[in-house]
Amino acid sequence: MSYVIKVGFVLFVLSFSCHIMAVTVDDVKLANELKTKYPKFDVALNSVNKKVEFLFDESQKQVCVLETSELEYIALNSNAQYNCITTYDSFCEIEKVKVYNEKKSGLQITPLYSSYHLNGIFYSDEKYCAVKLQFSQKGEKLRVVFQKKVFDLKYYFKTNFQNDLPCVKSDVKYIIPQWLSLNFIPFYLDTFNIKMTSSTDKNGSQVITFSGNDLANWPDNANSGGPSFYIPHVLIVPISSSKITKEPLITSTDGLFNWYNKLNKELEPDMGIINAQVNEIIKPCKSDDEKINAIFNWVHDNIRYLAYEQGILGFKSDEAHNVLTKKYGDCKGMANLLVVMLNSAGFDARMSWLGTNYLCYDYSIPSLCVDNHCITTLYYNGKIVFLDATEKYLPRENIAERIQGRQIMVKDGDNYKIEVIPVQLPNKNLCAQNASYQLEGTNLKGTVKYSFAGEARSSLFNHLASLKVDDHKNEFEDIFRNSDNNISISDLKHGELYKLETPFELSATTSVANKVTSFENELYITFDWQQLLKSSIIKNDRTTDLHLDMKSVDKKTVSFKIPVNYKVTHIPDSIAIDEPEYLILGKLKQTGNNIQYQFELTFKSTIITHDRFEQWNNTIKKLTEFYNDQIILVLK
Amino acid sequence: MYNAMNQKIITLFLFSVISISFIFADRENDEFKKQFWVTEAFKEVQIPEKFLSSSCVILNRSYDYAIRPMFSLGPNRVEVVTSFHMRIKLLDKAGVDEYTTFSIDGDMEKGVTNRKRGTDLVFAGFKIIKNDGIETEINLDEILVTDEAQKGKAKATLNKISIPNLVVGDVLDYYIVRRNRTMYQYVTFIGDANTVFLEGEYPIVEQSLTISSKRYCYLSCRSMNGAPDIKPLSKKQEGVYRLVDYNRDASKDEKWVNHYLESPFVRFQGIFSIKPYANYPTGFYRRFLTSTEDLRTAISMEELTRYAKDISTWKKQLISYPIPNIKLVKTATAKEKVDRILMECKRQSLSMFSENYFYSPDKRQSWNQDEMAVILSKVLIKHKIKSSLIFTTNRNFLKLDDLFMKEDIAVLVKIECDGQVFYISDLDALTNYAEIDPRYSGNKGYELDLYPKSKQNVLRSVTILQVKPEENKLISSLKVELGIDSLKSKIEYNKKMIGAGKLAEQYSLIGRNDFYKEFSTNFAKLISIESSSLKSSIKEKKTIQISDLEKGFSEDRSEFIKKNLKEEFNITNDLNFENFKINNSGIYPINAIFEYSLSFSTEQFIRKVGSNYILDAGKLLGTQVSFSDTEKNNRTHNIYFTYPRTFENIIEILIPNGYRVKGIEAFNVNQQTEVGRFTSTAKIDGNSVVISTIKTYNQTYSPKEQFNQYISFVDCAFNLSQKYLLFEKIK
Repeated sequence: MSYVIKVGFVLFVLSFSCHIMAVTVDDVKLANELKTKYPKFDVALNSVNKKVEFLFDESQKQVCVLETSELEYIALNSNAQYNCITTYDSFCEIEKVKVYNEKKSGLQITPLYSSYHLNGIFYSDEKYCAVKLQFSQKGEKLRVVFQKKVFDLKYYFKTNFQNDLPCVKSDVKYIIPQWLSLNFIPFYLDTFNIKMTSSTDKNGSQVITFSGNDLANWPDNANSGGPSFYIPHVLIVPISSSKITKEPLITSTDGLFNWYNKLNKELEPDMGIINAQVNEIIKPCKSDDEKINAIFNWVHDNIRYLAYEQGILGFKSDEAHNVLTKKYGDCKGMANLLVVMLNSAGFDARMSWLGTNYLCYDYSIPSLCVDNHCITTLYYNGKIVFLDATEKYLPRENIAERIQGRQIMVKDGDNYKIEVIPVQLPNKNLCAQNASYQLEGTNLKGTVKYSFAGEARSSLFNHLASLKVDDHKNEFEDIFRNSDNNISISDLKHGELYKLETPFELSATTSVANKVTSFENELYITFDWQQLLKSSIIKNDRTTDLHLDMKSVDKKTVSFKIPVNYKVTHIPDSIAIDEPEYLILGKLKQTGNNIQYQFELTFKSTIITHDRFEQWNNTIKKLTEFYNDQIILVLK
Repeated sequence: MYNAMNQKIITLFLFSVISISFIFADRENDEFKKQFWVTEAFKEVQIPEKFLSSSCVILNRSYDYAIRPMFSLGPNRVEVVTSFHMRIKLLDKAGVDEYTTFSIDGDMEKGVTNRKRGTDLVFAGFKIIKNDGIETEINLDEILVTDEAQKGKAKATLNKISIPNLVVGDVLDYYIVRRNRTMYQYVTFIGDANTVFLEGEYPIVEQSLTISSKRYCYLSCRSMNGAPDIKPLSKKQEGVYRLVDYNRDASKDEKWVNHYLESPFVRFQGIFSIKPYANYPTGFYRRFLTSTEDLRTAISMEELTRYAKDISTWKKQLISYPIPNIKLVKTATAKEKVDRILMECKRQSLSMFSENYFYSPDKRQSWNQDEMAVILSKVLIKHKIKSSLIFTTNRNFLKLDDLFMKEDIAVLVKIECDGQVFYISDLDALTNYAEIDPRYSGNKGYELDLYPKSKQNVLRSVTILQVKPEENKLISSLKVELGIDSLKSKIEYNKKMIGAGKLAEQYSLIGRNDFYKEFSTNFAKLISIESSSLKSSIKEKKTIQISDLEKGFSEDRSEFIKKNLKEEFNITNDLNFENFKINNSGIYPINAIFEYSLSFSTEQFIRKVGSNYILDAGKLLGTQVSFSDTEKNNRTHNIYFTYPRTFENIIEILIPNGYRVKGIEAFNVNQQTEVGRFTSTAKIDGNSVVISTIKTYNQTYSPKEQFNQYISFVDCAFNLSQKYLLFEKIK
């Protein structure tokens, strides 16, 4: 063997041999079983053992939490890799990170500490600690121990029992000292067969244990709403403590409000700056109504939403004058600015907290996790008006879907009121299309007009505002084309951009190729090439409900002119499907020398629950059959 | 391609700060502030009328690059300072949104605590100029959020800057400076080769690029595609060069564009070397380190010749790999000898870089071109194989006449035997050495004999063989059986590829076992676990390990095939396939065709209309490129392709019993142009409809005036892909 080959061979052997570990037949068997069950995974959790201790920090006079997690991973494949991650923020710190192999030897693996990049949030103090696990053989096990200290019980409000990996066995143990009393509010534990047991340890502490076996990984389905809708978890709510704490524990909704109110009362707006700006805004206004609109619109137009979550600033608003001068703020900052500006103009506007439809909770639970948003509530002319400063291009009379029907905690001096935000009808978000076509050669030529209202309009305006001005024309054209290069656009016209008083209208002349096919003396015409919802079959393996962005109505009225020398021999059958969540109506009808096509798709609800998927898929199949059919004309 | 190009600029100047820690050393920042906002402050400029409809207008922009030794900090420190200064007028909301926030990430930098000697420091300043001319400097102390994850541990930093009170109509003036003091490992420090495009997302009124160096540093720089020349700044400031440019339109993104060959840009590099040594790995640069006083703007024939001779005569210290000792059968033909040499080298390369090649594509390694050329030169000369070295450029990146830095020289080994010519540019496991890498096909270059040597033994001009469109071919064959009752089509699919373009699919479809089998069948056994002399217990474990990896590869391959089929035929539903088989790997020169076959079923193509059935027969061609009216009518760039190519489709559709077919005539089209063609013929053959199409792109470059020719045959193919066949019940 030549020198070269020898060197290569040694390198080759070394590349494998350094990782050889003791792996038993049972380990390999378990790995094979898990791989069969979870083919997409190369690593699984063999066990999760979490111990949560509640301690009293005498120096800070706070109840703190020490969470020790022992996670045993098993490789389901050779050469598997996995980044084991735990998150932390300003309210806690990682005290210990260790990695052990099966011989219980500690491994020298340097954890990576880095910031977490959350989509849509400009700045968050959420960080992660990651340990890269490298397995050489199938069945190999590595154990990771994280110890995390949460400085204040207030910020330790939830435990999830599902992970990003499938898990063979999970035990989470809470050790509650005698001086503390906690309530555990379970979500979906029965669905996942997670059992709770209670005992007392030798120190007299109550030990609550949640145990689950064979837990699948958390689902990765789009449009599922927030994790609180589908992940098995418990919320941890304090009931009482015999220790005297610096701040009272949040044990009730009153307590939750009191804490928010305390933070809110620490704000000291510079009314000089605020008043000057408000006076300038309302100067031309002739009525209170105009003043409210002017201030609301000014905040929409001039303050940029910038999500900011750092420490206490995740809960406390920035000063109104800061938001006004910086021209950006998060929802708290924008809501507070609107409150202060409306107050300055003499209106009764109040800071309000709520959880959007991303969360499944309401204010019956006294916890920081039940809300995630702030808006302004205006009491005006005996009515309650909910003003969301972050919902750009949505006028006062429209309420964004994400806050409709949600409980809202409205500040009322040093008290609060729980109100419910009204639910609006789907036709508030109407997208209408009117078109008329006639045949030119084998092309369909005609005028098309779109009209957008409500959130259909605000979504479009928000999108346009994010584009360069010179890209707007392409964007408008693509509304007609829907990325189909068979469609040519001319005479494009549109209404005034960002105007909220009327629906936004868009019209064009279109020439559509390849939708009419000639077979000898017959013409086959595709009557709908947009085909809303076609191919929207929900896959069998989806485990979570489907959450839609908003209730809405899409209406389409299309007229096809029949050429004089042709007669109609086939018109597709109508479709009419009316379900609790949606309505689909499609109808083609010959009237004189025209065929009228009318279509309506209404989403009456934003959630299609898992048990309704079969019905949904049947609907999509029927709808696809409807679209697949064609109009047939024959030469007279 | 343009994205990649932009990435390069960004990497260098703007977001290079992303990967390093962000520290504000007040004193030094004050100096930069003074430099950018006082001594070198931008002059007022008028915005040309034509730029006013843009989202933003860059009023002024400057890039500075400076390299110098830092002997005061140690014998092996080089300082590279790159700075970016821009003044931009924001004319719409999108513009304001883009420039309101700056996000700067850090990594696990450990040297940041020692600020004086720290490896990386970044400085920045921002100010807003309102319409009335009032300037407000942004106090970074108030708005900067620098977040260092967990103190005292390996950490990364995150820095966020949100510019306050920025509104439409404002001008933002900011600078970001990166000062990097690298501890170099070798006697020569090779700086990154940098590219700065003079066109960008927004129009630019005035811009400059300044590069400078101090002693022991070598600067190379060249302006491309009509970019203004870079010139010495003044006699007083030796080693400082500047380019100034005015009124550049925003760059437009279009299909089939190569900005490297079309858009004006400047490319440059700084190198530090006290004395050019011939040591690994920087020794290949030594012939180009001739003068620290002059700016290098070209490579001379003399330099290229000396570099070529370095490779062909191989100095031991130039590379770290041993030369394979290959024994050849004396009676073997030249072709057999070449086969053995190249496959033996390939085998050695694979053994050297382990089996990670197949299972961890990101860890793939091989000899670089210099190393490959040295190794092959030695072996070919030893065995007296007719061969030469060819020095050229990547055709998609640089013309030969524009060659000016070592970084951009491509080295190929040309081998001639039995009337065949091979151009070897790499010894990757899957590349077929009988095929020319499209990056070099048709290129001009310089050739130096390896064996036999000519008397003069000097570089001579040469043109590398141009590959024809029919040599880069993809043939797709489909046999379609229609399930009239089930509305499902069963399709037998066969794909053959030859020439450029097949490698990407080979990487995803050919596994270790396929390769070993093919290699062993055609050449010799590779060193593998199965044939190794490892202990049996270890061998057993390793065999299981490889079996697992191969299984994982097989799953990935399956996903790749599904994804490709769904994309090719625009299938939106779930898709499963069966009977996948690689009929020919295409890696061995005897048969260069990569061929595989499979079958699948889909509901996608057939539907019932009245009492008849319609088949989306055109869709069986696969997705065809198309252009919107806007794209067709506003072509601004010339047209570039990486290689000429041919696509063939043979579609055989069985006519169901009791039905007759209508609409065949629509599938007979023919559109021929100078630049390419599309033809389709359809006929009834027995109980089948057979559609045969050919689409050819003849050129790698066409002037934009010929765009309509492309549109004519491309549209013809697109329109055909939208056509149907009607299956009518025979009454």
